[in-house]
Amino acid sequence: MSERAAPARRRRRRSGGTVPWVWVLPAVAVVLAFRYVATGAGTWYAFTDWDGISRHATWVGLDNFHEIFEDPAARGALVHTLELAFAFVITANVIGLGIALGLHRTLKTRGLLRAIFFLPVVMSSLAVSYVWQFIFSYTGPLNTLLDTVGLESLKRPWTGDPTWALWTIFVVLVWQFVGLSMVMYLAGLEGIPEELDEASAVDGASTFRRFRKVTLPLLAPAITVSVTLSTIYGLGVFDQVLAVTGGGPVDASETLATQIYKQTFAFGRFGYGTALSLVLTVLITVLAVSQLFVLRARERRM
Amino acid sequence: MEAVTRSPRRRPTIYGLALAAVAVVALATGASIASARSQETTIKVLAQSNGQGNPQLQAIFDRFQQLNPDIKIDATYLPIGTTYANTLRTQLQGGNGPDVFYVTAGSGGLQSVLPLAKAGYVADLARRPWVKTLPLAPANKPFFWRRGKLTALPFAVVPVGVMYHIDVLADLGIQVPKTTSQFLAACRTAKAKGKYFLNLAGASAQNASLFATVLATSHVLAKDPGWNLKRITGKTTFAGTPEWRRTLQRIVDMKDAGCFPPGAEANDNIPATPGFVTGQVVSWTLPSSIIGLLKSFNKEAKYNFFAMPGETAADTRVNASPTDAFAVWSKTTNKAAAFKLIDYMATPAATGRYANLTGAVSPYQAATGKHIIYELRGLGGFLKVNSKVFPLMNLSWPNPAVVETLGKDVQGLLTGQKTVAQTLADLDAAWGT
Repeated sequence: MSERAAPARRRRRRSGGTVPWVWVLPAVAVVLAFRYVATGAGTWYAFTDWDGISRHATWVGLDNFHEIFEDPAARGALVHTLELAFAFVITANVIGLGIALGLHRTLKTRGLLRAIFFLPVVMSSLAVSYVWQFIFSYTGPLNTLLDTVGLESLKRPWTGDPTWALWTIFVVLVWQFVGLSMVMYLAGLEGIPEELDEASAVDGASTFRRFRKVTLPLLAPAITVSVTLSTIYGLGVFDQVLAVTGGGPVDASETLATQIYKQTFAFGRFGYGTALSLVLTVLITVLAVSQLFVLRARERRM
Repeated sequence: MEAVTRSPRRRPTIYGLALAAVAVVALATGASIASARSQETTIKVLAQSNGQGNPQLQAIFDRFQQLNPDIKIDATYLPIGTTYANTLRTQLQGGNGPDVFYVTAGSGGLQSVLPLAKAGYVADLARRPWVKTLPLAPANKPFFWRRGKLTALPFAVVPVGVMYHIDVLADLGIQVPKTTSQFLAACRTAKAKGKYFLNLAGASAQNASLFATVLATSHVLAKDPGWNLKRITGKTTFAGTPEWRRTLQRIVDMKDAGCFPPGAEANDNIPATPGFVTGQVVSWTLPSSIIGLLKSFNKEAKYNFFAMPGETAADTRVNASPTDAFAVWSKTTNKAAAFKLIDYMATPAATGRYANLTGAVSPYQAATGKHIIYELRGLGGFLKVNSKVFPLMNLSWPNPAVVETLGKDVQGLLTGQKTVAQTLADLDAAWGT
């Protein structure tokens, strides 16, 4: 009986393993065809000088990639992208976590406050950016405030100042992303049993020690998600740059995404723009995946 | 009694006959409607928007539809720049092009007609009946003709100059400047009286480059009208032209003289507009086709134009370019209707009406200097003298990167990020991309 049953189980196991894969094949084929093969086929243009309108494109090999690393504007865009993403990821996550901790339990009005902090996330990036552009303009509210409090010497056209232009975008990004970061940390905090915190308090642990030794290790999965998402968001920033500074003054706030747009659509250099897109894709993939591995390893250690 | 009471058997017959009659009438009517509809042709037009749609152009299309009830125009208006250019390119490449579409003259812009003609997307208009009567200055012919084919209809000539508030200028006691030194003096006077003389949207590459090319016309082309051709044939460079150096130096001088309002380097077109329409800033380098829009913001304001002065009054030149043009898609299946629309748009009535509505000049008005609108009278004297009128220099530049670089570097001159020498080198580098 048992000898006859064993092959039957094997058959069932085999069939149970293969049938769902057959069912999923059409969906996988569609995803591959429309998301990866189509995009991958477009990478061919990165090795051409196609201008977006001619019927034929000339193969130029790696010329576009050489130009990226030789062109000061493209190199500057790469540096700005990394600077902006680095500062944004740290600031947005620190503030998001701080707000989440503040609104986790004690406050009675926490529901309302959570909604207020989350509101910028659902607003259009472009609309928000235009509002901030007005705030930063020379006759805008920020300079008016500086005037009012007697700090006229600090007045400047913020979005047209080579030193400050990039950081005006940073402010907009943080302002808009903090709400999302807060929600991710709140979800993580909800999953931490209250008893653990209470027990450590009874044992005499200070608030900071409880946070460091109990809350933070248990928040590791939320940190992984929030940091990874904000990294991807920060590296691909586009709307805010285009609306607030347009990448200026003279490339001072240009990022890789805006360079791609300008080279491709404003200058009609589709081949070069595609090469820049490839560089950005590789950069985001490498940074996001390696960051994910590091954070996952840290989660296991905690 | 029998005569009154009809037999129940005959009723269905009568109803049947009535129904059949109604059906025949309905079918006949339907057939005639269907027949009329089958004779109606709808042509797709893609054109530039100015603010909300383009009511001035729509007025021309409405009139055409009244005159040609068998042709319906389905017009789409998109903002000029990357949105318009990329929609047009995508539609043309996808084989779903508009039958008639807006283009600009020459080759230096995103929607320039010559690259589209080179790629085979525009129909030849050389045999249209208006070709021999529609005036096109010899200097402008290379922007439209390619290998014996006419690529587009030059629909409107757009003068570019310095638009100013008549009343504000008078209140400040400033005369229209006729030389560079008078211009700089006007800046100092306006600033001393709490106003600014010249507006600039420094963060808009289009406006900053327009300002620089207009200034260059009265410096570079005043000395050497053939400079553009020399640059195209490689006989000169930006860096090797002293007049280009002087043009860019004048921008720095204007900044130092306080010509521009604070924050001009950070302003895009929209944030720069309120300062001008309220009269806080006296003047602004603009194409005349913007008059209608600016007048709608402040109906009380009285505007005129003056020509951007050169070093001397004799050097002063004016830009007037046949920038607004319309082409027919080479693969349109509605060629007859599309040509009919283009033929109508080429008439003096249509071009004149459009010019008067927008603030542009029709090709016929440009040829005679007559019947141009009130606000352009300050340029009228120049427009009558062929040797003092030039199309915008960038129309014949080889790619959009040159004019974008010029705009970007003008902003750099204002912020101190660029020197005159760096700007000239950047322009020569962009020429070769």
